[in-house]
Amino acid sequence: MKANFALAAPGAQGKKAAAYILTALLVGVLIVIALSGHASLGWRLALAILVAAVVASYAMPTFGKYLRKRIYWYTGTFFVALALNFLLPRLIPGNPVDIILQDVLAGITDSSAATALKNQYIAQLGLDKSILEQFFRYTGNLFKGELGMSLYLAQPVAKILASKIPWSVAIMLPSILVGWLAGNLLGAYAAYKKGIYEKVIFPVSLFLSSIPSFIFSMLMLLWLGVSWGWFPVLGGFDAQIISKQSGVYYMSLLSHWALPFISQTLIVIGGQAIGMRSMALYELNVDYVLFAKLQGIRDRKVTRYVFRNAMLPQVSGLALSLGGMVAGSTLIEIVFSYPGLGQQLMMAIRNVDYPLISGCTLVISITMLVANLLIDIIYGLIDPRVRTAQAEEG
Amino acid sequence: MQTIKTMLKSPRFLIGFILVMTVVLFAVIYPMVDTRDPKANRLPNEAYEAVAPLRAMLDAGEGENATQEIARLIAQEEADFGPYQALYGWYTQNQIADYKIENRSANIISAAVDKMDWAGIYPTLTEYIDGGGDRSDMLVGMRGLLEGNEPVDMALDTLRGLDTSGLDAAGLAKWQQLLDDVAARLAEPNPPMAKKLLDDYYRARGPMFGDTVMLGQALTEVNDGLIKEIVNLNLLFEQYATPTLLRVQAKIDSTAVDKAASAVKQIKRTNALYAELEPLRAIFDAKGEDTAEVIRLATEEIARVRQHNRDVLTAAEAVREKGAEAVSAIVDETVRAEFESLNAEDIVKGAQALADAHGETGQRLDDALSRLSGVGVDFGGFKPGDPSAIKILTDGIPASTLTLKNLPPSREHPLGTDMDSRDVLLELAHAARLSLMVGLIAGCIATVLGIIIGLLAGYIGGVLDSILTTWTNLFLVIPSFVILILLSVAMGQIREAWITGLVIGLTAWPWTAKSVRAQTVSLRYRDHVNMARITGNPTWRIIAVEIAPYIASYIVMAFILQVASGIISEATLSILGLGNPSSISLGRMINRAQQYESIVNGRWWEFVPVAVSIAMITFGLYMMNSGMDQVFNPKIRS
Amino acid sequence: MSDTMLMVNDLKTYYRTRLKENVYAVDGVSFGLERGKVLGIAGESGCGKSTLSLSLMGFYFPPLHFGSGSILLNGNDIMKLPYETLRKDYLGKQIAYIPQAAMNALNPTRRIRRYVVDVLTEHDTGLDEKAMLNLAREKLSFLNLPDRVLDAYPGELSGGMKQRTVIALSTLLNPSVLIADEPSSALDVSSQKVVMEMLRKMLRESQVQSMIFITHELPLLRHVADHIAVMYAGEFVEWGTAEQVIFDPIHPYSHALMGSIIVPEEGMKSHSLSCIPGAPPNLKNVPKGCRFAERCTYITPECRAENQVMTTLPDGRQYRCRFSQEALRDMYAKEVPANA
Repeated sequence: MKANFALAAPGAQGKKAAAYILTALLVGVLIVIALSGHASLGWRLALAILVAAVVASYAMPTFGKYLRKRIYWYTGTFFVALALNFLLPRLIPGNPVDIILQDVLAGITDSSAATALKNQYIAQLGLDKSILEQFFRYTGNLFKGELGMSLYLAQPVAKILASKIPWSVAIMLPSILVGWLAGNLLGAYAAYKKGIYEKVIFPVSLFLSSIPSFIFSMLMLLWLGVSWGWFPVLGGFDAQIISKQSGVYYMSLLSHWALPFISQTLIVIGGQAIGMRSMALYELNVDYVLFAKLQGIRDRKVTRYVFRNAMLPQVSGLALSLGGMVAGSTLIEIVFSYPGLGQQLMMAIRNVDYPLISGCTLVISITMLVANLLIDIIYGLIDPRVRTAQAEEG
Repeated sequence: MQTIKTMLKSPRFLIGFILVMTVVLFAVIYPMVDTRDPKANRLPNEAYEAVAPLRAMLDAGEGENATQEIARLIAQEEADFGPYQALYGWYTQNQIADYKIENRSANIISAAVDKMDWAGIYPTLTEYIDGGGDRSDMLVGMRGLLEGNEPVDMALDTLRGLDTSGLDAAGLAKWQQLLDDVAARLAEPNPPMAKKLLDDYYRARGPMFGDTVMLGQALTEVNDGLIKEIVNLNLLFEQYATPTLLRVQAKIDSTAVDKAASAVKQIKRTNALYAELEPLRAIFDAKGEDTAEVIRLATEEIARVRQHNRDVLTAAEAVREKGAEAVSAIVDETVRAEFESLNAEDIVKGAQALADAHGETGQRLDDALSRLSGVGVDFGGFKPGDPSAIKILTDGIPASTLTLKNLPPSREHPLGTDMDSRDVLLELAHAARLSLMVGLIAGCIATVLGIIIGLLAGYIGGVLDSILTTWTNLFLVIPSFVILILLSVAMGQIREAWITGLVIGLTAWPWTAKSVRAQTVSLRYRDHVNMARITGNPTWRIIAVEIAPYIASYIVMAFILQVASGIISEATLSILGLGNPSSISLGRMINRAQQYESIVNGRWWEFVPVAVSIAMITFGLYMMNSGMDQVFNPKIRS
Repeated sequence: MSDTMLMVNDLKTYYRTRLKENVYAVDGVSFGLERGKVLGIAGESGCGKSTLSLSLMGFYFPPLHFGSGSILLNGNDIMKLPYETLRKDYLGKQIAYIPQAAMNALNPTRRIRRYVVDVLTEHDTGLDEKAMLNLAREKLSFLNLPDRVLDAYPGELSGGMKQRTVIALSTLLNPSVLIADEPSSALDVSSQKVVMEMLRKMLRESQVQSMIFITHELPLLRHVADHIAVMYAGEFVEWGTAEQVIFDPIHPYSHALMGSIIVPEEGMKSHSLSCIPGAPPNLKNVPKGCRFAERCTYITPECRAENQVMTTLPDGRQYRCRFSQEALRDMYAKEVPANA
């Protein structure tokens, strides 16, 4: 059993760590500069951060190893996700160009124009080359920030995505964060107090977390939006307002945002409260609580221990939620007709607009991967058991 | 057995079980009770059934019998006879006027509804009702609503009569303003604006706002009642008169053209004028969609040829009487040429022959012309007793009625009807069946896959474990949602339910595999397993006999969760539009409700029952799982 | 300063089940504990030993409730103290507890030294952090643990180290009474020996004033305890010095227990082990009469008639049986070994 006490010893170790971190920063900057022109800024930064993290990780013995392992793993997964996004549309039987363009071609009677369009697409999709070449081209384009052209909206996919993502994030990010916080507090409170609140909070949370989210949203829409008329029921804003800079416009943005936000937050609260309550209950009955109390440590302090420990798994739950943010927002957006990425995805599916579908799913995958990586890292930093496990593996 | 007894004592398990079984039993039993086809969106029109004998007679061409049958039906007064009145009227050729009135009134009312032209509707209605038009009884009520604006006046009076003593000067001024505004709006042909005004005032919570509620309600009732009436009326006309007429029109046109064409074609090659009629034949042959155009051209051409015809006949007459010298008197050059080409000696005979040929052709052309002119509502070209004409009108009566669209719940339809006139309750039962089945299949596949992979990875360990774990983690991190979508899109429209279940199951197994693996690993070096290994049991036997029973309880719980998740996944796919569009599943019902904006329009019966069903199933399954968890994992007894 | 550290008088504590039944896990226990002495409490699983130790701490949280009786610690009835005083001045300071399985006794996400600081701060020792850590280091070295343990997380320590660390932490404030609840049952034999040595050392050097040692492993008691109390179904059935109870048990239960020990000494090969058939009674429905009656070899109808009380012998020994000690000894002598 190796016990790692390196962190406690300053001096030579510290200097070594500083050296590593400085090198890492330098490497990062170099990468950003070197790749300019070959990749978009976003990708350069991402790559720089990753490489810098790997270099810096050598400064910390156990955590560093854990960090490196995670980075390699996620990079590999990223390429797998990329491959899936690339492969699946190409698995459609038949000539993909024909199928993709069939509706568009039907309207074109001039056969030479049709052929020209077909050839353009074949060239664009690179179908005249081998699969491997196609993949490299796809990846290369991806890193330049080019995701192809949407077939039905005749706009670059990247542009469409960029305009839709903020809407999705606007609903999901606040609701996940607020819901996570409120839900955890509520669950902890219910576990600790065990009073009437437990009899009310627990069943309600169980119910909230069991209903599928879109069902709940639909019911909220019907109840608060249609029956009571408190909130508008369609769209991201009032389409009749002309001036986009006016206060009225911002008010309408807010009122249209409110109901999806409330629905989603309630659902998150439900799930978190249940989870936190179970964790807290478990931790409250754990041996070290008894021992600490028997040694005279006051309740409040012990409770703080407990909740700190109970929170840890909740943090990884937060990761999953954030990662699934875009996927989760899809159904909400459909119910509320909110113009975000999810609704865009649904319309792309309806129109069988392959480049757009690919783009949306890619964004969803990347979001999930990044969120998971970040939380893995943070979790590794805050929970010492992870480091111990890592040290055990040697 | 003992565990089952314990489980049955757990209240959560019981509640969950009851919820789930309620839905399952409903889905299984109800379709056996109500065996109609859930997709049947047309419910039989009694009138259509009632005229079956009439249709048969018309098919057999028995005109006389058909007339009698019509009279009998009308006398019977049991079916929906609006159209038959018109039929009979047309048939006896002196009530076409009624049909025209109906047609005209329908259009006016339609237009009035579009513009909510209250002032315009009333006189038209009166004229129609006094004229004994179709469905007058129904419209009397509507006219009553429009008459004299009674409820509206009453409302205004109420408003004026309210006690304003509690208001200060400013309040009084505001109140007076409101009265004036409302009165002004009510005088307009658009009373709904008055209601809006009141709503605003209500929201602003002015003095005595509670009393304005009454006014608002009164106006609402008036407006809503009126609107409903008009909509129904519109539907009625839409459904009976207009389409029928249009259809008849088109058919008659087309039939007319066919008949005219055949009349022309009967002019044989042997006929001297065959060549002359080439352009006419060409017009008929080139007949495209635009029957009106064809008719126009043909009529012109026929007229032209006919004119020529007549000229020839006149000339022939003259020649027959006066002989050869009449030829030179012929004005028209073409005609003269024809006569001049005749043999001079037998000119009379020749003229006669020419006259005969043209005469015959002329008759046929007249025939054709008369057929062509049998267009429009006149029906002039058809003769009374012509079975084919009656049949056209009979065919125009729809076999079903569409007024059952979007109805709220009633006794015949406990959950109302949806946008395709389908009975929602029946649909729900079938949809629940399908969704449950898909969820079950998905759950089975996911659980089985998860168990196999988990057991292998956990027990055998080593390289296999690394590979399988990497594979599992891969699928855990890449959202299954994404994979599902990509797969579904790639596979196109999934026809079979079990394929959907298969696809979902193939993407849902990772977390089961991970948990099973963790459990297997903890069991791997237990004493009994070691013993089995030492005594030389084959690996598969060890896994099956020593390890599997210990994780049995866990597997059952995992299965339940997988089924729940499978049902939700299926619903998600259907809502996104990826499932089989022709099959009915719970998600598909929600998808249609979304597409037809049922939610926004408050047609709650089209999606709330579905939502509740899904919620019951998933909540029930989660409760069952929670109950089992309590029994098997008592540490977290809560 | 009195020599009696702990005086317990007819202590009754019970568990309240969900169905509102009261189960008296400790049903009338009395004893005294003097400075420098070790009391060993022996009994099988479920006889109420752990409940007794929790009860002695004054630690009553649902579902455990205090019934009746008194617990005098250094002359103060701890049940009459408000919880705050109990917590600050007694728990950990005058009476300490070593839990059974040290595996989970420490918060896995906190370093040991943080825990030390927490405990010592609660008790108003007036020490600053540096002094606290020095004190901890002393204790650790006393138990042959390296200084590095302070900076470690519990997960980084081995089982034996953890147990010793827990012992060190419990005794930071040199309590008057140390209750050791099966301190070595989770360890391997060599670690066991080490732990026992440590405990004895602590007693010798007055780091603890007195000790209650609870176990179901009888052989240990011989080397550790001064007095032994045998517990059965919530009551003491015998009390005496270690020598007396081990080599000359009076109560049938003690007699049977001692007979079940495998002693690797000469001449023991022919000695057959006795085992006690049956199981302890369900304390929800306490049977009338002697609680051991079901399993006793010498049962008579009167045994079931009335509850048995403790008989005190002139030399201070106590036992709970209606038979006289001579009668019992006679019966034991007449026992025929299974394979002679």
